[in-house]
Amino acid sequence: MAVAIVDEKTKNRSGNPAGGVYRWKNSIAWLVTTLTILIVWQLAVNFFGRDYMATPVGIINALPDVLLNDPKLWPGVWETFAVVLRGLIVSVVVGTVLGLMMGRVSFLADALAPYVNGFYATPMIAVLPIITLWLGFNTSATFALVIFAAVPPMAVASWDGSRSIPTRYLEVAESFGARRRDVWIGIAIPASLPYLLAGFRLASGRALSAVVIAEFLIGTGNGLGIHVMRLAQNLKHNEAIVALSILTLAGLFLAIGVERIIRRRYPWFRKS
Amino acid sequence: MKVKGIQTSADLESTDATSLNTKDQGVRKSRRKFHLGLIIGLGIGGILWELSGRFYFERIFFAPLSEVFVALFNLSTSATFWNALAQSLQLFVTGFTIGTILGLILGIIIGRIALIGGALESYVTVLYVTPPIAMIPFVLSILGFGYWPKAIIVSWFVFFPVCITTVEGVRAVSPRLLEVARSFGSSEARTWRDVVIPSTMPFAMSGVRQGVALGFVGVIAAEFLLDASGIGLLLRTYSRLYQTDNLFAAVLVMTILGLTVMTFGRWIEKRFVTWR
Repeated sequence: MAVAIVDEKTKNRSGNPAGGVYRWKNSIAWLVTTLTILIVWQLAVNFFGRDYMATPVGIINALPDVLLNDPKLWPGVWETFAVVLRGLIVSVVVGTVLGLMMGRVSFLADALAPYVNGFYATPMIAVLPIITLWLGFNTSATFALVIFAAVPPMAVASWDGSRSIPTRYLEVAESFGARRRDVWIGIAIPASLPYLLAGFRLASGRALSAVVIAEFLIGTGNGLGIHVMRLAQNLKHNEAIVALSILTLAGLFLAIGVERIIRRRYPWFRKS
Repeated sequence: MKVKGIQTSADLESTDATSLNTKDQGVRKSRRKFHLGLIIGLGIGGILWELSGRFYFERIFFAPLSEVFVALFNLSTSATFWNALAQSLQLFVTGFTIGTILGLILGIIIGRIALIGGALESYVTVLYVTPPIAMIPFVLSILGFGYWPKAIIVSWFVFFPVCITTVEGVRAVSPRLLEVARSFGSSEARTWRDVVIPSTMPFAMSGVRQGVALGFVGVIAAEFLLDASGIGLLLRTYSRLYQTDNLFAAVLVMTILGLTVMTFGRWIEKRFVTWR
């Protein structure tokens, strides 16, 4: 049976008229599965769980209350995303420049590779104690952790990107007497753009993780992460999930948005 | 023109060269430069670290490299350190095993049974983009402290990359192979064993590689935020006591472990890709 479905799907892609039926069947299946999950969740908590645990009905009830009447939610959202945004801007600039330099000057690549790889491999949580030691338990420590999290993937991506520049382009530019600056702006940066986008996808995911980790461990401030933590600890799981879903939406928006840009503008680009 | 994938610096230099002879020289030259650049890079970093620790910063904020090495040596001879490492490793292995097995199973289900898959996949994606650390307060207030809540967190970290890449892998199984299997009357179980699982493996292993790296992060996160144990506890203690030499040494161990774990993951992936 499963085989038939797979076949139908491939036909659908190649423009078979059966596609409409397939889509209709698919959305019914989606609905049924979703309802099953929600009902099982609701019943499981009602029968086996505790009162404070989140349920679908509870979350829907909490939704307007949290979004409209929670005085701490929107300032927290603002605080958290301001840090993420600032951190990402700095990381994109620093990481891209670092990676391009490493890609163009092989000596720098060898000299900096152990640092980029080492920082990439170190769990962010492990460096947070050092950062708080230096900067204190405040927003600048959060900011620093976001940068620590987001620079290595950006640097690696733009390093890969600038290494993938076709040598032929560089040779042509050279033989027409292009200046170093023109090579950078005209060839190096455009050729690395899809890599940079893929790197940005990774970096933004890590930045979101970093901001949550930092807020959890620093414990001061009023960001969205610590707000979720406090709600969960006060056994308001429904409200906590509503607040958390804002973080999820941001992650989804960044991941899917970037993915779509890459697919549309650079269909040849495949990165494992 | 189609841009090729990742090229190493040796590749770039050899494409510049015209004859085979100069090509060889190019490769050799780049290898020698590799060591030189690496040594100089690490040397400058090390000297800066040592000097700034010795002359610029207060000791409670920054320990010079030499003291970190001494601390590293002391750690490597202390039973506390090895016990902590063993504890963390045990947590990693438990969480990683659970996360990988569940991820593979659910990934195959989602990829193979298209009707259920479509719906489940959207939920998996939504949970995947949620920072996994954010699950810790929920796990903490429902399950409290102990070993298993931590193992659950670690497997949560591992599960999603494995599941998502497995789904991709199952979907990438060539329909022609499936048709052949079907027309020769292969049973569903046989088809899975001989067609679906072998051709999914390389994809799944790329997920396992990511899972290894994330699971390592999960271990430290769980040990930090749930009840403290293992390396997480060590890091916490050293930072509270302002023992920067021990703290830096422990973080250095984390970096080395992280690099090892990444290399290990890449090795697994490569093995399965060639096996295909």
